[in-house]
Amino acid sequence: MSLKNISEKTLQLLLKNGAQQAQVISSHTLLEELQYENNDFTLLRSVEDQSCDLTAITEKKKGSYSVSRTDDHSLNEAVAKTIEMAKSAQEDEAHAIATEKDQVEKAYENFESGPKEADLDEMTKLIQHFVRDTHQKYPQIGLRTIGVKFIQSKIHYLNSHGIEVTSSKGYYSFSVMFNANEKEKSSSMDFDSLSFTEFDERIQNLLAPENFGDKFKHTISHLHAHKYDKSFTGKAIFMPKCWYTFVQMINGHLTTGPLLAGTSKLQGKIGEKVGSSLFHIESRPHSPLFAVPSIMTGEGIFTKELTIFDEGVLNTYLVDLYGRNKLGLKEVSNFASHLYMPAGKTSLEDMISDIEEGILIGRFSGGAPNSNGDFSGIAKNSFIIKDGKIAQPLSETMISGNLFDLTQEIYDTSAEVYQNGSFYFPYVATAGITIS
Amino acid sequence: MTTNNLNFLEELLRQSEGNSHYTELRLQKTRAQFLNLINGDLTSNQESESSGLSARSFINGGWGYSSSSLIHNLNSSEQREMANQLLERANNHGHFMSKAMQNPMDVKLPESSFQFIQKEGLYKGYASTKDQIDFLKSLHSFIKEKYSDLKSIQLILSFNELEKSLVNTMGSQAFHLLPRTALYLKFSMEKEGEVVSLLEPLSGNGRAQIFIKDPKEYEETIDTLYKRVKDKSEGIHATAGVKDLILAPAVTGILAHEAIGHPAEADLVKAGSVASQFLNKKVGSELVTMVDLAHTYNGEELPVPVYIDDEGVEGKDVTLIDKGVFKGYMNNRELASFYGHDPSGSARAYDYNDEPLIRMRNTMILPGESKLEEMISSIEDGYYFLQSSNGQADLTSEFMFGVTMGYEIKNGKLGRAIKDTTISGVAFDMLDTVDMVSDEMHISCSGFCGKKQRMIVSHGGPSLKCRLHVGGRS
Repeated sequence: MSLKNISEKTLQLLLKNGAQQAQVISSHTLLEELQYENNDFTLLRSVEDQSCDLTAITEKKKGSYSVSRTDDHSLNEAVAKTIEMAKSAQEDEAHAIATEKDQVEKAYENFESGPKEADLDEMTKLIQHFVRDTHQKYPQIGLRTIGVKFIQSKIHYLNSHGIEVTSSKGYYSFSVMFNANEKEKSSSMDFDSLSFTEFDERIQNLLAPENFGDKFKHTISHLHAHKYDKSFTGKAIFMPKCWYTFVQMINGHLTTGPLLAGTSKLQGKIGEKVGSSLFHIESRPHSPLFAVPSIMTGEGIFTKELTIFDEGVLNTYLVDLYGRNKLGLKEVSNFASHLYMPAGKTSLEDMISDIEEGILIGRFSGGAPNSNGDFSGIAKNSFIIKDGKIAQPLSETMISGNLFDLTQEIYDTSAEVYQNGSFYFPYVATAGITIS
Repeated sequence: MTTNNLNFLEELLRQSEGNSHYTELRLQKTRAQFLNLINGDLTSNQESESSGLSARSFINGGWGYSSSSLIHNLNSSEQREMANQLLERANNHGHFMSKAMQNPMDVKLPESSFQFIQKEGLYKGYASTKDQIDFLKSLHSFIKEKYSDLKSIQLILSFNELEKSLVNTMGSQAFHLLPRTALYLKFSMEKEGEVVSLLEPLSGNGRAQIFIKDPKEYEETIDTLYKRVKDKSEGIHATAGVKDLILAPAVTGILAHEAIGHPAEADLVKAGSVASQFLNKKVGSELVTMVDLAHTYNGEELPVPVYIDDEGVEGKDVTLIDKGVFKGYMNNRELASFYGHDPSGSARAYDYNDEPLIRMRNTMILPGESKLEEMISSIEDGYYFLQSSNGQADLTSEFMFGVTMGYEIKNGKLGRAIKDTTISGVAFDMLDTVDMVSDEMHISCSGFCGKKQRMIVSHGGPSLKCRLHVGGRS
């Protein structure tokens, strides 16, 4: 049975069995994964997954059920289960299935992107060349795990308000986890990842020693990392990957859950300046900067380009249909992927030379910040900056601060950007980080 | 049905005999349910069931894996033909790997077989969605009525279950279910514009009905959580620095899992974890004994009982640290062979489309003889940490955990509550500082361990007195 047939048949069954509104997402995914661990290839893995996700609303009550079996008997059972779940729920006017009126962006009917099948030879060569180059140029680096995956995902979305979309996306992802070793010394692990659609020159360049090498040099220098003896509160430069994790934590305050619970620090602050004018974050789901476009949410809402923080001003929450209705907002806006922060004009070198005593933070290993935005944790893959220079790789060094104070204190962004196919961020300089 | 599945899998395996050095077939069903009630509104009412067949073959040191959700049983000739193709693909992938390898090895996996067929009907049927939602609503009303000054009450009921049928070319056979349910209570309180939150996770082996009770039965838990969140709202920030601490069992458990357990997994040992240097060496105080137990402790079944793993190996207890001396790793067949150890039965996969990885089961530091009160009274200036949030550790055993609830200790007595903070250290250094271990024991299976795939695990232990670095504002 085709995905379209599965969706149509299941939607009809849901409506026939008591659903007043319903949606069905039928999907088929192929995955090929090549894995390299501790100096050799270890695993080739193929996965074929199929699933059917059903949602029903009846008498303002909602239930969602997902099943991987799509034969007639299984779909009938899944429909009965979904209806039972919906009937068991509580009435809530805010439950909804997307209609044309809910759309804030143009509709797609058919969408295709990326390769349709895995090129196993290229996947193998990519790993072989990366390993060869790394071993030649950086013998102290231990490549613990390398994974190259090909994913092809086909989806058919259909709902009872006539919204119907077919999409097919293919892409590759490369991930590597590494550390440095010297006699009995080992550094902390670091990792990187990349999403892409073609084995072209751009990918070869990104993974070439001259581009990837800085990450290895950082890791090798951490063989001699030690604790910084002094405590102080001062300036910090966040490396792009680390800053991205902080932005995700901030964006978490804009989602339906914390807003409904009343625990969001950004509640009621739309239109207010909550960060410095350099704190500018956009979601660009259709941009060619990213490997895999996102065209719609799981609720059938077509994504749009969205400025979340506009030069420090909070522009929108990131709410789903339920959140929009429950909070009485105008638009569905849970488009928080494909994040983009514009590059600045200052080089990283100049940003560092501007700091008398501070920290360059590569990774944050810390507890989830509390509702107030306070965080504390270990600065991993990080360096002390002293008198305008990188002075010391750090270990066992705790940093603390407040998410929202950090955004207010941003005073520079770098000209260099990091883009891995999933996000596009510069280095970000801010103040108010306590090192202890 | 169980026997039929196993017979069909055996038949399939026999047809392919001789095409690999080792092959396993796993037919699996994975169920999950998630209910989320925020301030009385049911924001999530979701359930899922996925199933499929996987085949994994070992050829000259390379692994080939193939899985499909299109194969759910082997009752029809069409399904059997698809299963045959799946097995052939796994074998072809194994050959591809052995050719791609720089150093294909003539590795022989340790020969061992084990049969474990769990009694059918061991777990009672599934609680209805209605019963579960009604329970959450009544629990919410009970809390709301008793404590109306809470800013928000969030209740989550989360159920996960793995049902596996397994055969392999060494003659192992298995059928078993692993159900786990967790009930999370999260209270938030606002004071002077600042919101503080605290989560209490309850968990157990079984389906949702293990928690569906009269809300009054949770009164003690609710009262304690309310008191703690109220104390926290009036709390102070911890003072940064190296401090004398008492870690309550929930924190000891996450320490055992993250900071000592992970570096002692043989794949991470091979990757260069610090544990590779410590076999049979002293790594901590003689008061510390740490184990990863397969299924039973003191005659009682543990929350994550693993009688057989996904390579058909009998689940065996692993002593990681014995009275301060590091004694062993958790492994799979391949790395048991590499290190010359016995397989421990630690290879587990979460879903049908996941390959087995070395995973912890029930990881804990064993209780000592001290009384908690004596431990508190022995500290002049320090903290008692009761609850942790997320934790992370790396191969050097450097770790950090978020602490969401704790009290200061001044002159041997508990003082004010503290706001969220973080503790960090190097586990194998910290173990040396342990000078008291309590005689209590608490085990939790509420979270997931993430290591490429998610996995149901449990961890716990007694209270530990030790010295660690505490994050703070001054």
